[in-house]
Amino acid sequence: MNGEMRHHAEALEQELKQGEISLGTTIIAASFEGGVVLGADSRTSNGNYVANRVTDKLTQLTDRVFVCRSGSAADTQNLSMYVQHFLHQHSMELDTFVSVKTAARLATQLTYQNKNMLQAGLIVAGWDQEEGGSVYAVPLGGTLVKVPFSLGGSGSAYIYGWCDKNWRPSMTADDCRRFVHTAVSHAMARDGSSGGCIRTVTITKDGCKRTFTPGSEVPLHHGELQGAARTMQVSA
Amino acid sequence: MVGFDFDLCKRNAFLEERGVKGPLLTKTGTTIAGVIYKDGVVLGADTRSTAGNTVADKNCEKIHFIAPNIYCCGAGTAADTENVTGMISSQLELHRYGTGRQSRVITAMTLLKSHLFRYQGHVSAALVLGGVDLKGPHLFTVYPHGSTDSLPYATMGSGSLNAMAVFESGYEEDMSKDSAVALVARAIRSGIFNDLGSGSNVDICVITKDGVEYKRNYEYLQGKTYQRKKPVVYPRGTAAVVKERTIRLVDVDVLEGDATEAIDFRAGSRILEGEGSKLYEAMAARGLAGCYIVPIQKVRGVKAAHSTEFYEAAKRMERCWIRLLDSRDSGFNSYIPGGKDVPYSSYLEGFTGNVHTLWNCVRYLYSCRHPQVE
Amino acid sequence: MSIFEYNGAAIIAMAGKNCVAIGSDLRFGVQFQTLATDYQKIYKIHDHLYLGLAGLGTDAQTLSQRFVFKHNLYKLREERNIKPSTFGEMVSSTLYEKRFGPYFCSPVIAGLEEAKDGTWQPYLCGMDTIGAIEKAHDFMVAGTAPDSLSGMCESTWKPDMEPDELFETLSQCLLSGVDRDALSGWGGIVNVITKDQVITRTLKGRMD
Repeated sequence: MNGEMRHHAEALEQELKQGEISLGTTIIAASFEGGVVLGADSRTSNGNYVANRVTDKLTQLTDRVFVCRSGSAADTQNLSMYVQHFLHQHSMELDTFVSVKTAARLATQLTYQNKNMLQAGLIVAGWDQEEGGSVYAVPLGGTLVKVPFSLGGSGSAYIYGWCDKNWRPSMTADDCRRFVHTAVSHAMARDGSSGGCIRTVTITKDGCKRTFTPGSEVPLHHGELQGAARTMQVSA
Repeated sequence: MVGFDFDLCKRNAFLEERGVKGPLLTKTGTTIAGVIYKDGVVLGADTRSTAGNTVADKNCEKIHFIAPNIYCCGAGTAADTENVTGMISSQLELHRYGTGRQSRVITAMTLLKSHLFRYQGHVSAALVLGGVDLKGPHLFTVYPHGSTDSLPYATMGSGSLNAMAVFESGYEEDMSKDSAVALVARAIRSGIFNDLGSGSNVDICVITKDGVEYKRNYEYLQGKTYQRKKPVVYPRGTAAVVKERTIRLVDVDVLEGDATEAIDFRAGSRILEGEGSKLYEAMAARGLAGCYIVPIQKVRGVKAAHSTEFYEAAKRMERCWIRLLDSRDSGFNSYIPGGKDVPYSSYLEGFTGNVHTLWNCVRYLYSCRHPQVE
Repeated sequence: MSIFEYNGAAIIAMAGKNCVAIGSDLRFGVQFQTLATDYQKIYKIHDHLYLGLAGLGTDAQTLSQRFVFKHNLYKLREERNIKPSTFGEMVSSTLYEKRFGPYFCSPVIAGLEEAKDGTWQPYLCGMDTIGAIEKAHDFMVAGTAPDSLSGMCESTWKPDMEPDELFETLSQCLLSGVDRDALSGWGGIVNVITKDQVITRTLKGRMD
């Protein structure tokens, strides 16, 4: 392995820096006829401690583009800030909305150019005039792939099979949101690093619509017990 | 932003390589917390700082000023929390001068996270940032690596788990001020008593749109537990003294102008001009005994002497330049060109400056006329 | 070995009533070898302000020179002596500048500052190597035996001591404090600072 390759390989193997806050996460984005749905759990952990149980991992980049963040909280938050900043400048020069592809391309460039510094797995999704609803996966090394739907974070391993089986092209917005919601709830049930509440965003040409499912209303799965009737006191 | 200096890094790394351990830094083990309540934000902190296992400060301040409507609790390396909050505070102050508007909490948060992210966690400041701005109350946690969370109640530091347990069981939305303060105090107390990194007292800071109440030592929990009934008194001469040297300090700051006025004008380094006897009285009134008065003009043949001698000389003068010196400072006296008709004061009329500067002028003027002297 | 144990030092500063005192031991050594017994770690900044520097000797000298230099510049610009509290902030920012490659020195600052009511009040503070200021109203210690020094101070300091009593108390704390420290000792030197005089006394201590 030559020097540069080793460097890259090491970067990919790099773990979180000591004490760094991680979004041990389940994130998902799926396209449907005329739009996309993004979904995420709400857990941020610091080792074994849940540092934030109502995190918002779905970050708005432009009017019709969101990003799902996984990996280091610091890296993905600051990366998103840079992407927001550059897209804003770009859209002013363009005098129109930027496309999802442009947003995703910018995200990859920043992740790829700084991949030895960053621990960031992103899914960029949204709606634009050219492509309708589209989902771009931007995994750790900074690859860019356009996909019908994409999963990310530690929880995703538990739901690949289920998603492969249940995703269908041309779902309705509602069906797609239910698909995302159920997928995240399954991942949260099995993955210790995912949990809390479920957040989704549905993006169509008409705009963005958020939903929030408190922990007490997340569907129960195999082996899970109904907790004491306790409503979450924390809301978005 | 501070520019760091990395000059000594190589040397220090070299020493570390040879097995020399670096110094202990002062940390704030810390329990810090904050909640949003009906009308604003309550921040709380313990007051212990540690260096290793030693308590470095029993009553330090961890709630830092950011802006008149924003405060910030800091945990982590003490120097980092102190400097990072100070830096952002001054950036915001300049921003306020530029915009003429109140600072926003999210601006403070963004400046903090950008700085911390730039240093990739090496600036170890973990913060709970709270404030009230035009958008209402805000509360954020900021981690050393530069990530932030926006929360209705938040805790940080080694005692954060203890404090969070209290919040999770006791937090309610839209609390009153009293119950919010009580809840935060209870959260900090649970850190103080159950976390070894936290201790001493509770500081509280309440921020509303109408202002700030900073309650320093809101709960004074751990004052000195033991006080000697009969305090130790070491009588004079207990310690064996080999050598003793006393330096008398007399005020060397002298003033210009009318003597009585000048003496009232306490601060500042000025040369004093005035009628000799008045000056002396005024100085005596200030308790400047043992000082030297150096008249530059009209007193001839007096080079250096104790105050009484000069007093007599000064009394004879109408106006004079004087300087008060302490006994070490004989240099001035010996250079007085007494007996020569050099009216220095005419050159120095209206001069104000400190005595050293003045003396350099005198010397310069003198050397121009008498090159053989210096 | 910690870098602080290379040369060894013991420094105490204490506040009294309108007076302040600062003292250090006199040993200069390289690890366990004593090289000099008249090496004080206290530096005078001006008549009412003294600075103690514990830690690596070379850094202490460099730093003391930088501070004298900075104070000279301050005097040229301001035509007055620096206030102890201002000086404290200056020391702090000088040290924090080297946050990632620090000088191995922890300073103790003792001085008198004129209060609004015209009285001269003690100012005391200490710092870690990267400039985290710790203000104290009672006493401040630094060096290779901080625990025994602070233990002595903790039990014998009391508020409002007059200069003479302050001197005796500080001296006892210093002499007893260094007794169990192999890296400091060999007598001490104590400066008692009041509004109109500074008394410097050299103490006889155990020479072992």
